[in-house]
Amino acid sequence: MRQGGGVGLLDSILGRSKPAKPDLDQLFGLPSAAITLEASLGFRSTGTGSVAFRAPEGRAFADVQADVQALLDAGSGPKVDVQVDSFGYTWLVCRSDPPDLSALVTDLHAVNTTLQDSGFGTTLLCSLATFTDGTRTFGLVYLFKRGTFYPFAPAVGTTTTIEGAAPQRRDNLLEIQLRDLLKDDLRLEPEISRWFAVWGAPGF
Amino acid sequence: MGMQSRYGDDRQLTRATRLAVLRVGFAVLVTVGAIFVSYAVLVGVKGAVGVHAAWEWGHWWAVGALVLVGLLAAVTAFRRVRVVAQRVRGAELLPDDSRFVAMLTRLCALGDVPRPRLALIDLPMRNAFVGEGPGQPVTIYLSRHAAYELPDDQIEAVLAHELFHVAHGDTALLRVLERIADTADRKAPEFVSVYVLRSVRSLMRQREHAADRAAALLTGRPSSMAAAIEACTVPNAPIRSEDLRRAIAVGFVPPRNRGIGYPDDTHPTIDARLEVLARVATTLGA
Repeated sequence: MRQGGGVGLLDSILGRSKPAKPDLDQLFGLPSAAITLEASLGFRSTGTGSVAFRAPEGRAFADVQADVQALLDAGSGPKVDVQVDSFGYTWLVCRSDPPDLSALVTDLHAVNTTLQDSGFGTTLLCSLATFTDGTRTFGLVYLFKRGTFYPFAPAVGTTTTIEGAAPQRRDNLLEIQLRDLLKDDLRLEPEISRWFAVWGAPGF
Repeated sequence: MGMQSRYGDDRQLTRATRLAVLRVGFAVLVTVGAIFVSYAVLVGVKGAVGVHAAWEWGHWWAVGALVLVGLLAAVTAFRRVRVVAQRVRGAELLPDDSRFVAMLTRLCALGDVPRPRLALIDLPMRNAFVGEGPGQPVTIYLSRHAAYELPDDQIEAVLAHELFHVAHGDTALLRVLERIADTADRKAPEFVSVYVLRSVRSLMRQREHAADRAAALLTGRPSSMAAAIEACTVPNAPIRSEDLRRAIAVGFVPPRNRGIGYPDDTHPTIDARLEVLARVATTLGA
């Protein structure tokens, strides 16, 4: 089911790489996963979802935001907020209040489709929807290029080291638990080395 | 299925690469031809004597000697790879939660390629290269100088460049190309081996351009790539190990920069690389 991706033999000999194309359809599996999550572990959607992509340099940040909003308005898409994380990726944040995951997924799909149709498909990194049970919060990260999801759960509470810094830790146990719970609802990323952390992403 | 991408091929680069591939193909033909001719001469003069002697010893001796020679050739072929793997053993593998690995993992997600391992290594320069060999997982080695002295966006550029060497299969290609050049060097007359070496190196330079371009498109930051190339280039790094020098042949920058381009350079000149990146910047801004 993977589209694009990888490098063919001829392209390899000529040193060309085809940009991987995103696969958006799997996003619509989220609402059914949410039902499983609430029934089994009591997690509910926070109503915040986001799309991360790599904005090319040479254009002011405000331009990107205006461009994206203009593109979304043209297709009667949702309102978005824009944030940039410390790795240089741009996050477009959608909010639904009260939390309505189906509406949120529709919005995320609209944002993704807009970016893809305007030629930014190759720069899409991931989509993120966050869930909380009141104390713990985790995100389901959707990898466009793979068409797979994985859970990202920051550990609750902070520990201090001898330098006084509070290192960021992941709640690996919860992540594995979520993977096992959701394997029937969503296509989950089998290679754990691809589960990159999204510290400081919107919604946490 | 939407548009494929707003960034098409770099025609100039594609044409240059095709030319280099053809050149290597021609060089291989010339090598084979030259070896064939020299063997024909050799056989003509000494062949009769050799065959006669072999049958004198009893032919199982001759077969045994041939097998031995074959084994020796195989061992020599694999020796280089193994030695590189051993030399790099002092490397420090970075854990999954380190910032550089997080950077690399995101690049892999963006480009949809499997994630190689990432390790720090001591080199007397800012550089990075790819290590790959039998029994050794693909690993990107980043020199500590680069890791501690370059800003994040430049480290990302270096990692993206090496990632595309992995994705394009350049380490394997390099081994084949070096083998061709070595064979020509040992078996063919000098004017042939010089031609073969230059052909092989011209293809290697195209691979550097391809990695630069693909990486700059992936990160969307050609200026960081340009800055990293300039920050890493040194006139002549004191790397004494022949194995490491060979490994760095697919490194981010060559261990030695002679200022102007030579036909047997492994890397293009800084100016040539900046030109390709400038075209990427134009594409991105359009």
